[in-house]
Amino acid sequence: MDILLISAGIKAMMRAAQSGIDLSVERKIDKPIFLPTIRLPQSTPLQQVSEFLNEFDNIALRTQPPFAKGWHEPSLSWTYTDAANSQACIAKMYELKSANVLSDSSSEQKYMLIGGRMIEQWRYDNQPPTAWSRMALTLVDIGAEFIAAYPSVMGADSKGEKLVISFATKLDSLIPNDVEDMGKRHDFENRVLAVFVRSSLAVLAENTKVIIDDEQVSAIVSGVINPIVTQMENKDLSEVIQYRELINTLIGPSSIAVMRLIVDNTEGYLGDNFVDDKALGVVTKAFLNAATETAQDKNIAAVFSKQGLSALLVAGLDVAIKQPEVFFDESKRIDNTEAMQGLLSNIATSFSASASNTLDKKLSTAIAINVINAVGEHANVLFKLDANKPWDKLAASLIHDFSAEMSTSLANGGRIDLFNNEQQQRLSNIILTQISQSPSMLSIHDQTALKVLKGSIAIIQQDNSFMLSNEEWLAFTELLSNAAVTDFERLFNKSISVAGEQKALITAIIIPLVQRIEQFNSDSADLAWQASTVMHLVSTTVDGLKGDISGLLSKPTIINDLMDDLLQKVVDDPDKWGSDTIKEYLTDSIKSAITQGVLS
Amino acid sequence: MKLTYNSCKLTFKNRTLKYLITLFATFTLSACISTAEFTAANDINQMDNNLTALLIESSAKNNTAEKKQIAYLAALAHESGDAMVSAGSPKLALAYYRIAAVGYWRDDVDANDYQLFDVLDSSKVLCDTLKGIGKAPDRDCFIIQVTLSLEVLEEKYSEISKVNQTDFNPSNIADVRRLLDELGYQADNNNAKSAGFLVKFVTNAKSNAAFLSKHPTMKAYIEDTLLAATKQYKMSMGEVTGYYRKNDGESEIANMKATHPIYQAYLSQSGSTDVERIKTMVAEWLSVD
Repeated sequence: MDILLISAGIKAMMRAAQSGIDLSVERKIDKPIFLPTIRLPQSTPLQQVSEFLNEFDNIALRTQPPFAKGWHEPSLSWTYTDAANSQACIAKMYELKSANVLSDSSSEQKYMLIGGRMIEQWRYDNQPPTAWSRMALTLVDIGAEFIAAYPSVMGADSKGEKLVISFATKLDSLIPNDVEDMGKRHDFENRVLAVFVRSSLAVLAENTKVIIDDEQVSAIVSGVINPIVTQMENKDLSEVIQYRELINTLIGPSSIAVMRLIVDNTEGYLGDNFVDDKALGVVTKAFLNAATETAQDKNIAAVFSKQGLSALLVAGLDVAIKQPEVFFDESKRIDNTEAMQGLLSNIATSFSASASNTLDKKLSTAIAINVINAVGEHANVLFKLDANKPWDKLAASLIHDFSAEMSTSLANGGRIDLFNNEQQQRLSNIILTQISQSPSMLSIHDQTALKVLKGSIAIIQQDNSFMLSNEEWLAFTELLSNAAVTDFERLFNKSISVAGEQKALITAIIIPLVQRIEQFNSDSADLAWQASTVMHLVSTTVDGLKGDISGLLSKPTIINDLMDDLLQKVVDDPDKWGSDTIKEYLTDSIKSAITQGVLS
Repeated sequence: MKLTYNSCKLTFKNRTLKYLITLFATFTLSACISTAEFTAANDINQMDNNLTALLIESSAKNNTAEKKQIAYLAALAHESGDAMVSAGSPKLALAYYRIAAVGYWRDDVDANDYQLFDVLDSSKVLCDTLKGIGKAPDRDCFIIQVTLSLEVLEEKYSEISKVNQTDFNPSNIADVRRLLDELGYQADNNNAKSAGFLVKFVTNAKSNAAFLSKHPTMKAYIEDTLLAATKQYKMSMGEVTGYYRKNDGESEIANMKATHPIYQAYLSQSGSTDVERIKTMVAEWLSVD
């Protein structure tokens, strides 16, 4: 994205925000106000007689005594004639009035009692634009900004133009019929919408081949924007402030990522580019609920960074786009809003300060995202495999176990602590990605991934002299994870006795190997094995363990014997044993040692 | 109350960033103005609520404590309106001026009358400018101008009520006639005597009939006012003509009928009550061809 696009985006957002503020200001200065009626002097008793006789019900009294004497019909006035008659009229009037005191007041009298009227600001042919048209105008403004920046995107009959029109036609689902009902969300809604329009246009600008159609826009509006703005309701002022801050940190980075996800995942499916707005809605609602959870140890916003929050939301929406039935399936009456919220709260609990988890926030986020992706992708299969282990519980337990293991390992220091943050994230991702290739392993053996992680870390920790680089150890982890997919039971569950101690086969064999080479490199620095040779040794051994291991089981020390023999040969005749010679020798001898239990 | 923008001041030294910062400053400044407008709108909202409460309270009790508060509120709104003019927010200024105008009308502080003129003058400039672009706030512009008429009408009726009407005599009947002329006299062709305030009010309402026909709540308010003011005026006219009738003053009655068009119109109505007749007259005044 270039500076021109960013600039256009900023302008668009500012226009949207300004539009929201204008609307709010106008609502306040345009609300009906109370205007008091003119104050007139209180009538004297004589004037009251004239008023009394002017009431419709008292017309007949005008020609009767005592009123007839002072009554003047042409002017409908009663006036003073003499003191005695006046007193008689006043007395009669009060007598008659007191008899009718309970009669209803006319509407005019009621208004006079209130002392004024509520007055609207605008005459009906001079009303300012409604909220609906205001938002539509905002969209037009945003489009205009993009025309200046990217004429190819926003030209006449262009994709951008269609996109803006598509958003405009969805406005009615965002705006209540009565603008007063917009309440706390009035300007907020406008801004959220503007951000998504901008993001959509930005995605179009990035790739002119992309198509964002009406259904996709509809899914975004009802599945993501609507839950965001409706969540604003039923919150008190302090909650509204916090919620606005949360959304402000989220929507920028998230919106463009979500639009990319939708585009990436729908354009490939010919004839079926439907995005399920209900599934998007479930994830969005669950996420917002978990991010506004009052209990701090269950609140993901309190645990993760801004980037982490956004990445988590996008990860959830990614699953919703690819596997919508995980979250919502009308035919099966599945609505997993609560399950998703529970998962997110569990994630928060796993990483909260009270969980004594010392993991870096980036690593925590990466583990959570990796698990959500891995489990979410196969959620349906997982549920079918074991209905008693819902995907959300499995994901929560995986995240907890992984983060606890990484936290403990990193706290202990050693070789793994020299992996940078990105490499640590990849380590967990590699294992989860590989293991999830076989969903049954995630479901039936929910400790599978954890055991592979533990095994990998245990082996890596032996490399105290940097025989292998971090990248090479990650490659080894991938190799080990692949082996786990095909031979998990044998490699990680089957134990053998080494020096009187029962250990899983993989660690029982590989750890001594790494230790032995490290010792050799230390003792014979001039003959030290280089990384490629060490890598060949460990990978050939892992491969060998996937075949016939009857020889190894009959003689558990055979690999040690093989290494002792080989290293002695290297020392005795160094000219003969270069890396290629060693690798060729290992390829054959390791296999026969494991298979037959003898040295070749 | 002065609005300050200190938090929005921007400075920059790095020339290489000048362009970007200028761009940013433009956005920030617009955001600052927006923030000030947002704050002012909330302020107006609060003032409106307070003024409504005070108006109802003062009307019910007719005491001076609330009127002092109304006077204070009016002065505050007046000053804030001036600040909004300087800040380039005419609609907000007019909302403040409307509160000030109503406040100055209802505070019953004679010394503040000149302040009402000041508000009227300041508002007229803004309303004329906004009307030129079709954006003048209908209600606020109308109310500000009408408050002066309301205050004058109230004052005239109050003066009439102070005359002892149970005991008219040649001296005080002349005072009441003078006051009634100030309300209902029709200006003559030589302009030797200007039109009465009620006549002017009716004339003004007639000239705004088209506008009021599209503004139901404002029209209802003006109808209320016309009905109440005309009824009060007619009642005093009835008392004075009654005195002349009793004291052989038919020529005076004829003269009053001839020079008071509203009263003349009233007498020509066919209704059997004041309200019936005056309502017909008001409907005619506010009718649109």
